[in-house]
Amino acid sequence: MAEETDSSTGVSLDTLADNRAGRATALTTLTPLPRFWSPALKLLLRIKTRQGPDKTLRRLSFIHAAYWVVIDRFPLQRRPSRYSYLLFISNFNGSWFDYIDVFSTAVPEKMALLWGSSYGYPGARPPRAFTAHIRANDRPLEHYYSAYPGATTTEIASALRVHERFTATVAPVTSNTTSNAGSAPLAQAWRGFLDDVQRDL
Amino acid sequence: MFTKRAPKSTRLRTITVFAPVPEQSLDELTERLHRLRERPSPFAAMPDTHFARLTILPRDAARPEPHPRGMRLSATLIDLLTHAGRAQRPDPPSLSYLLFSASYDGPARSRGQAGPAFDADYVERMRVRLGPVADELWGLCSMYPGHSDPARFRAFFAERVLPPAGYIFSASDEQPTVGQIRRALQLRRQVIDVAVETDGLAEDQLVKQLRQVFGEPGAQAPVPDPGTGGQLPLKLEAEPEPSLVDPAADRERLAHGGRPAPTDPDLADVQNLVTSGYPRHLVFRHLLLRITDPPAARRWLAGAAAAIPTAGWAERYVDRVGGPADDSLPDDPADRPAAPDAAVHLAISYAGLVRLGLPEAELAGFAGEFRAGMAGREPGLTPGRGISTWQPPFAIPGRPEPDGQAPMVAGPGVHLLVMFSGTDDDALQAYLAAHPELGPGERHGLQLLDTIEAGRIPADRPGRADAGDAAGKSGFREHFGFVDGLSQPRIHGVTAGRRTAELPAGEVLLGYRDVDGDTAGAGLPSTLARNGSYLVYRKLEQDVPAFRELTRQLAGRLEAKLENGSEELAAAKLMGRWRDGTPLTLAAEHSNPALTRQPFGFQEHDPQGLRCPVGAHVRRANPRDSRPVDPNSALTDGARAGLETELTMRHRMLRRGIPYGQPLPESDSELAADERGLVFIALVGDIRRQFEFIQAHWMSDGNAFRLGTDRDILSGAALQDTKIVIQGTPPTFLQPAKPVVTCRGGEYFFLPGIRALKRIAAG
Repeated sequence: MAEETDSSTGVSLDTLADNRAGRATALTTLTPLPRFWSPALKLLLRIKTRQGPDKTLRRLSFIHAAYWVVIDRFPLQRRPSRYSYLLFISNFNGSWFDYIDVFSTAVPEKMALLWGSSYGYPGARPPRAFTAHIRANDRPLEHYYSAYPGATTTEIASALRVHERFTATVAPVTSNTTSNAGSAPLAQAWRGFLDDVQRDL
Repeated sequence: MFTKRAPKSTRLRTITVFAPVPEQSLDELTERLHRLRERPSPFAAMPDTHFARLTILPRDAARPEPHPRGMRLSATLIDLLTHAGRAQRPDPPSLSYLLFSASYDGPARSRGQAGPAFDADYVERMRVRLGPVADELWGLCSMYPGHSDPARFRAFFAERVLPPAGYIFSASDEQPTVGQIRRALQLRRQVIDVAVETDGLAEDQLVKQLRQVFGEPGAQAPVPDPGTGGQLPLKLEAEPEPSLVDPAADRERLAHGGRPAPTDPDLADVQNLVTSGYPRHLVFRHLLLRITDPPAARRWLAGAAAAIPTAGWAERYVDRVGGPADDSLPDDPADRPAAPDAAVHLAISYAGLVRLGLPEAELAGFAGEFRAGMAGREPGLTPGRGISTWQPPFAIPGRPEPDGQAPMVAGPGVHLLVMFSGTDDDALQAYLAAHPELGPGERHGLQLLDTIEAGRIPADRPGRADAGDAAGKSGFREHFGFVDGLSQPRIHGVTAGRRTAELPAGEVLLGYRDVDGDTAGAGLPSTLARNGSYLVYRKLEQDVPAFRELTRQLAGRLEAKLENGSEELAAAKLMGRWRDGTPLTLAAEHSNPALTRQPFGFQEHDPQGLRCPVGAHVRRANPRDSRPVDPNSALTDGARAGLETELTMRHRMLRRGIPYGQPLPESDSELAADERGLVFIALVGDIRRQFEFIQAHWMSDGNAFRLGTDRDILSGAALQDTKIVIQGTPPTFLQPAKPVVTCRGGEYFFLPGIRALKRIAAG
């Protein structure tokens, strides 16, 4: 899948990936923070783990998976670095550029908690400065793999619901290979199933 | 704290490895990894891996973070607390690294339980499954032992792995495995295909099809999706940084972030098109021009600038009645301020500004999407279609390919958009006769590329669906018979006053505060940008016979299922409003013009789309309070109320579109071949956030509404095989035979304030 480029200005477009291919977008940031704050940040991450997933982010539903790691020591480096580092790795639907400002609007305080100790953090609002900071720190990737490139998180959630309903209501009737029971049970099961999952199709 | 705890077990694991790479091998490693993109990704061989990435962190690339300037108070306090207000000092790493990180399925364990620091099983699986490819990936890293010895391979990674992630956010609590996800995706696609094919069929045919697709045990086992070929996601847009202030230039730049931007526009400097859609004007003529002689063109511009009506008259009216300035005008013409019988407005594209000789330092401040032009952005705005349906002057046939087809390429570029309008043909002619100097011609250094004759469809013209003018003063009918222009945002100081505004002036005018608290057009010199707007221009051709055929077909389906299948209802289900403008959500069975202007939301009375389908045009264009909510309410209870509305308000646009071409009466087939459609015009302060976001995410995609990749059929975004879902009991699935709306071209223009225009003309 080639990058879309506009030859006249060399500007690459990432508003939306191809229809049904490569809809996942990676964001990888590595930002320095004073060593003093590393234990507090690690504690914060542990607390967030125990609290469970952030509901606002779930509601916005465009993150497949994201994780944070605090690095106090780079492997095999002989002398320690001056700072600790926060590594943030995430997989979004579509263009993160269009969503990163949603973070600013929806969860600015969480952005502050997570990135506030990192150098260069300009505040979650206004989104323009925050986006520029994240973009400047986003590492371009040499290789990115997604096991389901054609699907967004919403589509996956829908697909799982469809699968669950289908298995529960339609599959048992279709596997009835004898047509003794007539076509009515299958047709009925199918119609009930469609009624049920129409918002996921 | 929470009434319902999320499940305790987690299955999603992550692994992150930093492997040092010798400096001299960095280039070769980069090349190796790039070559990998030509094949399917090797990680496809790891069936438990959801995502994987590799990137090189060269030692030399590390730069200290600049200390942010112009922060808000809260951010400044955080900076003081965490950094004592000091900037970062250089901290170059002593080694370059290859960063590898992956997320994968592991055995379930309870949330509080810390996982092993190092997942030797996953590493062993990599060794076995990747085999020699592992050598390709890590072979250039220092002290890599090769993949044949399990113990040494494991030790290599054990030394280079980072501690486990402190916090993992996953999309769902069930944490489905890769296999579960793929099977479910496959099944969903099958279900959709079958639903579309069998919609409206008799029972025995339905059952036959079902048995055929799902009956055999093998039929449900999916062909596993091989995953991406390891290719990168499309590269992030390289938006130019706003140029640094040149101390010698001594120009005041529009404020960034922290410094407050003005909120009350100076309407006397704003082109009147922003405040008024000219409801009394029925005739419009748009000229698309190219500049052949910049000095002559500038002289013409200076003359035209003097003739453009400004919005100064509206200053007194915006503070009154809580509606658009137009609506607050007294009915009796004698009481109205002297509204012109004819008007001219003009806007300039980026190519036009370059041609007019604006200095590079000023041009650099324009937004990246404006500089690229709509043709450059179109592949992202309507993926899969791009400019292939465009026509001259916006696109021209390029060099023919071996198969004889000549793909459309961007045209030479429209520089200037001149919009004339008048109450009727005579008024417009009289105006042009009275101002001969306004007619742009060769002697003014302007070449005419195209003329678009547009106009409101008046009551006495044949072909207009249904009398009774609910179109009102600010709306009009378009070619499918719908009243358009009904739901316009109330913008402070422009179309509404302090008490009734819902959005700040920066949502349409540059130089003022926008909805994020930023300044619209930040980075541009205020003498150029203030009181100007970005104008999005898009020519949408409408196939009226195809639309009528579609509504007849849909009406038949609805009749069979709901016993209420009028063609009017079918049309309403596609648009989201009845033809006279009544919102479907408020009146699901019959239209009721009294409700046309009533504010409404979807979430309380119509969350599932049973009244107004979720994919209907107006619901996509403005979802109001109803972004899709996860049906599992336990996950979303307690999240911030009103969030959806707040987010939706960031994507509103002021629209000034006008139909073009002759209306098509029901019975007439001769005129059917004539071109007709809608000139879509939107005035915005931020093209990307207000227009492109909607076009790309809400029109050319269905994901935001849990509609997968379904596209809107009424905005020219739809591909050949788009499906429509009309929610209901039972639902209807339909695939239009052909597109009913096709985009024929468009461009981004800058609609300058009057003073700015005079400055541009002066050179």
